[in-house]
Amino acid sequence: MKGLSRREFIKGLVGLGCASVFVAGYAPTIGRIISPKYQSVLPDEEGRILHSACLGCNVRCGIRINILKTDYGEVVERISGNPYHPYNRAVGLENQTKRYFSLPYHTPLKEALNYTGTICGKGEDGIHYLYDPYRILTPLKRSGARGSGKFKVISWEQLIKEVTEGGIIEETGEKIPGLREIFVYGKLKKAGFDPVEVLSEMKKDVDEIKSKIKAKEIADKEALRSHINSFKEKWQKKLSGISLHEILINPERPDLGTKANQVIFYRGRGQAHADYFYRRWIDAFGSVNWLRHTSSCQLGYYAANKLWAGVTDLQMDVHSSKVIVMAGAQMGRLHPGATGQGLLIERAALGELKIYYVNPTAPRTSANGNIVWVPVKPGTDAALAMAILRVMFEKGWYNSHFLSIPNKKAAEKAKQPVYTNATWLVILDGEEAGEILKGKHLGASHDNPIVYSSGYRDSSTVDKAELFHVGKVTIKGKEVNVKTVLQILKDETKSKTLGEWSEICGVPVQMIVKIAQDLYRNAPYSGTTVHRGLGMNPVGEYTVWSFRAIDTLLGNIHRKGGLLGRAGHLKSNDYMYDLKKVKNVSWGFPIDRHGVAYEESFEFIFSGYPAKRPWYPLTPEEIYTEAFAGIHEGYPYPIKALILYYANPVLSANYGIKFIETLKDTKRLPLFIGITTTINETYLYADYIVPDTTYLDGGTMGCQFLYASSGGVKIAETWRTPAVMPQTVKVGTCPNGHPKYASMWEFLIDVALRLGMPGFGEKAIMGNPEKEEMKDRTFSLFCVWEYIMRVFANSAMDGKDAGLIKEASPEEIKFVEKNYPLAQFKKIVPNEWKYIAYGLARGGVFTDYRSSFDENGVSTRKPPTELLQLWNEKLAKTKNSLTGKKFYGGPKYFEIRDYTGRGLKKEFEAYPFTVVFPGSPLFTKHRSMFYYWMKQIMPENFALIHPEDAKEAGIKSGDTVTIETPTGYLDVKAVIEPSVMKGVIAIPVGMGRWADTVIMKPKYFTLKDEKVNSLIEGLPPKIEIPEEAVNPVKALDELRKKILFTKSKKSYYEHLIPDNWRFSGVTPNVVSLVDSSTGNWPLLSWIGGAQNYFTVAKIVKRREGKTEVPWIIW
Amino acid sequence: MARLKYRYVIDVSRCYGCMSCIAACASENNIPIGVFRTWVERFVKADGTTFFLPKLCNHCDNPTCVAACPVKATYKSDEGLILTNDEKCIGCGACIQGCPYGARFINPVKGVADKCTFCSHRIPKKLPACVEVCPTSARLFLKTEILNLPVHVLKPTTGNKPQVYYLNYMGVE
Amino acid sequence: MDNMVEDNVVLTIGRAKMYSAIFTALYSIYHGKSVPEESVRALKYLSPRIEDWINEIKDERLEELRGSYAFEGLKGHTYQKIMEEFYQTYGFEAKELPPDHVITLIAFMSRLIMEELQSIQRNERERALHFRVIQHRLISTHLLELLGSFEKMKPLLDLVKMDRYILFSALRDEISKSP
Repeated sequence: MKGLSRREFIKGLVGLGCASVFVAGYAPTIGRIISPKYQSVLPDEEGRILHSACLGCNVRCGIRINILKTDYGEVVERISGNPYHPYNRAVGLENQTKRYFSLPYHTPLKEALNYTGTICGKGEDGIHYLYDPYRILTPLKRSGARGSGKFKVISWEQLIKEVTEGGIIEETGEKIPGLREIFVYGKLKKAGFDPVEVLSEMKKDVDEIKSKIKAKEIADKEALRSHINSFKEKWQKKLSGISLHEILINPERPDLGTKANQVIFYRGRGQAHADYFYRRWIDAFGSVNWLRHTSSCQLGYYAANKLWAGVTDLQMDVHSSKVIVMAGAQMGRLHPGATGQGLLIERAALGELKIYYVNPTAPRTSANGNIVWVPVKPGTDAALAMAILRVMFEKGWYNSHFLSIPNKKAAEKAKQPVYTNATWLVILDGEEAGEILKGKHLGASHDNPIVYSSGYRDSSTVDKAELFHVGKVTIKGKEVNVKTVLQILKDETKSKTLGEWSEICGVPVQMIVKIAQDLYRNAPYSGTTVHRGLGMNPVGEYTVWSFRAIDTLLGNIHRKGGLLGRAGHLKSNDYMYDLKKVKNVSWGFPIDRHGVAYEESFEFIFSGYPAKRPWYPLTPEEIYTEAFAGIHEGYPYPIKALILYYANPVLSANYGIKFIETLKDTKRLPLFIGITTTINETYLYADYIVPDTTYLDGGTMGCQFLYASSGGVKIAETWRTPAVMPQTVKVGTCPNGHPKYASMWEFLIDVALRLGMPGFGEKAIMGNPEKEEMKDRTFSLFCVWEYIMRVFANSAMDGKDAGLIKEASPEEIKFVEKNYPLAQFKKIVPNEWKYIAYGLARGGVFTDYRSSFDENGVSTRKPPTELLQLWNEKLAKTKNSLTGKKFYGGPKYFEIRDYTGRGLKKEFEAYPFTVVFPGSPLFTKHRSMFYYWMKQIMPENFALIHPEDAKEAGIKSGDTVTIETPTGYLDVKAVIEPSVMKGVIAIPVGMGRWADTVIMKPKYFTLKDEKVNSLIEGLPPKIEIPEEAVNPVKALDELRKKILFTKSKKSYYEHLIPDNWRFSGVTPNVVSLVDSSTGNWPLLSWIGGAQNYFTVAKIVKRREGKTEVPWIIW
Repeated sequence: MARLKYRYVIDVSRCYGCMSCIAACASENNIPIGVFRTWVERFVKADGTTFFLPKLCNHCDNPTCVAACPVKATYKSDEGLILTNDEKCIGCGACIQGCPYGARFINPVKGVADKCTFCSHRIPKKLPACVEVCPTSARLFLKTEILNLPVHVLKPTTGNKPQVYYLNYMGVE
Repeated sequence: MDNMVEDNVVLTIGRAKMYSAIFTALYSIYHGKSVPEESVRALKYLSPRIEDWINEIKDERLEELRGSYAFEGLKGHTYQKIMEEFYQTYGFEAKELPPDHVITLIAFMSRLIMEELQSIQRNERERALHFRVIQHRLISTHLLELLGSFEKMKPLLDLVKMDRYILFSALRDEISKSP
């Protein structure tokens, strides 16, 4: 047959093509013959259902988890909210709007299952947390130098043995010490002494010397040395057979404590009851070093509230407040979280609430104009507060009646839950400058604060006193000036004109007046909700305090619609079973020198000022930077071991990369144990890795308290129990037959058992002697279940006796036993089980908002404090440990400055932009990059820049810009939009990872300090780890893996490779500020030691580019 | 063709972009990464005012997608929901082209056309997943055909008679 | 779009119609029905030889036009699986007719060209190229050999050979243009 010629063929085809109608007619038939490979995917049915607590962020909302049984094991299928919980609130077909309240706590479970609760995206996406391909499942030991990335699998037994007795890194020949070396209790016991007796007496002797120093009986080096020598002599004799060097860190410095202090337990994302559990462990070990990540969290805010109110946490009531100045507080993040804040937003949209959003970035919705953006220059917020206060003073817009109350009795008479020191007099000059004028100063018989009320009076003898007074009194023959506390504040506000304050903070005078007016008009249903934006910078404490001064003037504390502390919770630690007390003794200074004054140490007598490193006596919680600086410099003493749990300071702390030098150094840090779910930027340098469990499979079980204002309810705690049993490897069975899985819990228990620590093993837990049925009884502790069941028993029985918890119905008990994995351990607590079941079924214990206030609108909770201080005498008497200068004792506007008080304005001049690190409801800091249902919406972060700034710099959206900060250079994608104010660059925080059991070397920054930069240059190209050690995802079925990880390469969840989304974006933490006055360690806040969530920058380069997705959402 | 017996109402002033609805839908309906049955768009005005606009299938009463399907795989149910019979779908994409709201997509795991079903497997006993999780009550699912609210619909001139209604609509598409 | 691309689109539409028309014709014959007018017209436009050929085979039984019958030994045994895997690799599956039947392969060609056309319409050049590559693979690896095994398929074989030549030149030009 003659074939077609080419020309003919094409002609034919073109001819065919000329006709306009296409093959639509053919499509159905062809489609029937060849169709896309169809994979049926249906929504899942219901499996096991249970209520627990979320840990997508730290807000602790409730969750209802649906767990499906598949051929491949159990799968957490769907998560929604718990309608019993005040943050989730109840949602049903019939009640959809005004989702304000949760179900009444006693609603039968059967009925409650017809309702659901709201929940945010992170909580919803828990499945990606549990099934994270990077999760470690077996114990690991490093098989190369520190930070080489080489790890090998070891058995649980080997882990416990080496961590206690010491081990050898076979591959390098290094010897690693064990904890027994510093377990002083064990040494004393072995030598035949009663450790508690010996250590108690030793401690008493040290305390005696300390009190003598305080009373100025010991005032010089010789006197102190002689006391120390006597101490040494006594104890060397008493402890014949053991050298004092085996017991004390330094016998010349007995104030430093025993060698047990040389182990640190540092926790990052802590949580009940993990927190109480390792607190108990470290107490049992005998160390004072139980430290938390608070410096990278909200320490500035805490320290400020502590100065003002004596407690760390107070925020506005979400239900009844009418006007809130929400300053430096992230919409969609701050407690009550993206979930609970929904209530605030809804109320605002309905016109029930007005929010002034004081923030360099715009609010996420204007809620029909009821959320007003008040852009403020970062770091100048105190100026705004001062301006508002100035208006309030000038116009008389404050509650003078409340402020004039000088003592507790008068407050009770006036039906006020708290009172203030506004009327107390402060000595302004002379030796006692900064102190409160008291009876003893004037030669009176009492020592109460003096106020002015027709003359100088004992504050306890009058019901009210003058708010404003300037005068003179005579102390020890010298005349000094005095002013009332409120007068000092007023004068402070008047130190600048309204126009000048406005100029500093960038908020127009009109707006300032309007805010003051709205606050006053709606008092006491008005006030401030403040957080990190205010508190986490060098002058953070004074800034937060200035805002809280506004609340003080409004008189809104502990009231409906006003400022509330945290809800109460049940006695989960000691109601029936005393899970707290352990018999050991410890003393000394924590390595980070938090909560202790330099002047308390013997060093002060020997060396005076400056201290070698800063001491932070007034900070309520712990400081990463000073802990690492302390380890590095061996100050105040060298450390032997660090046990780091669920943390990542290298990434989370500002300029945390500096810590790598310390972590890598086996001389400064001989033993580094990491307890974690993945090997992150910090754990890369660990000697041993203990695999941990997530909140869905047995991690952080317990009764979670809620942060302020806890939905306004009287009592609230969310109960976290596992949805599935641990995914980590099983490591044994406890003597009472319970399974043990690799986790923080079992690690600490097994180490304690091997060491012979008090409070573990047989007879480890005492019954509460105040309870008849528990007196003289003891209980064993061999596995976590024996601990956690007793935690719930404590709460349940306290709840029962308080009338909150009832006996669960047989139906509810059956439900709990069928659905909750924890139920298999009910035999540990047979007498309490039916009450525990009641609480478990409801996911915790919650009371109702509506019954939480009395007829005067005062909260029925115990007041968080009695006294509010607008001048803090303790602060005014505290000296800066480096300069020896006293701190200013009241709210005040300060410019940003370093620890010694040197202003940084001049240094910052070269850097016109302030870089702020906002959060968003999509993620929580750096530990949430596995939430792929969120990552698909925001795959990378960027630098938000105002259009006018962008125009000047010639940048457009999608371009990559290089910004230079005082410490380094950062490459980041730019997004140009007016949701950030001029002069500010906002980089949403949470991305920029480079290590998470795999390594993706970061290319987006370089540091100016070559030594520190080399720590990143020196990153190994990958982590070498056997694939069997990781990844619980492998076990899942193909289909589920395809759904959960659609856009990733298969090797992400089949093998171990870096998946782009886990490592995309940047973190501005790496180029944050350092303090030259403290040896170029990260810059911290003065009082709290809080890290800084800002830096300063200039734009130095740009290159073309585009964003990964065509939309911008954060 | 049956009319929709439900009214899905979105209050734009309340949405604050927490994206929970997207995760809930993906979790409830096993939606793969990268495609969306419901989504939320973000807008920023010149003065920095920000707002979020949730979108999903409008379950139109005069659906162009149903008309476009050559194999009648997609249909309007007795309750007025627009649903798809996956087994019939040949994945030609005509319905995706035919939807003026961009609510449809090819599901990369299933291999067929996909879109929001108002969680037809749960309603009306339970709410659609996106509605139940919303912390601000920005999404409502009402079992009624009558709405006495000042509402808008998207692209009203398409003739599709979309049945998702917007309150406090900020005037964007 | 420049002339080159316009020609490309026209060519693609033409090829799509060609394979669809052949498919419809064979499918009708397979089911013992008469070939639709539209297909006849299209094929006539293409070449009289093809039109004749369709007339020649219009009463034949086409069941045996399968790879598993045409090939011997192991190849014959597994040819169905081979074609199943081929379709699956690209995300498709065969229904109604056996996967290794000539008509199924022709249907797959149509399908691939339709996908190519959709990609061109959406300006997804990479994707269009991808489908053309698969078409070439299908022809080269399977279709030619299969058609070559049956005497009565010769005219179609010649047509497909020609189509492959056109396809190959287009592909070569396209690929050489790519960065």
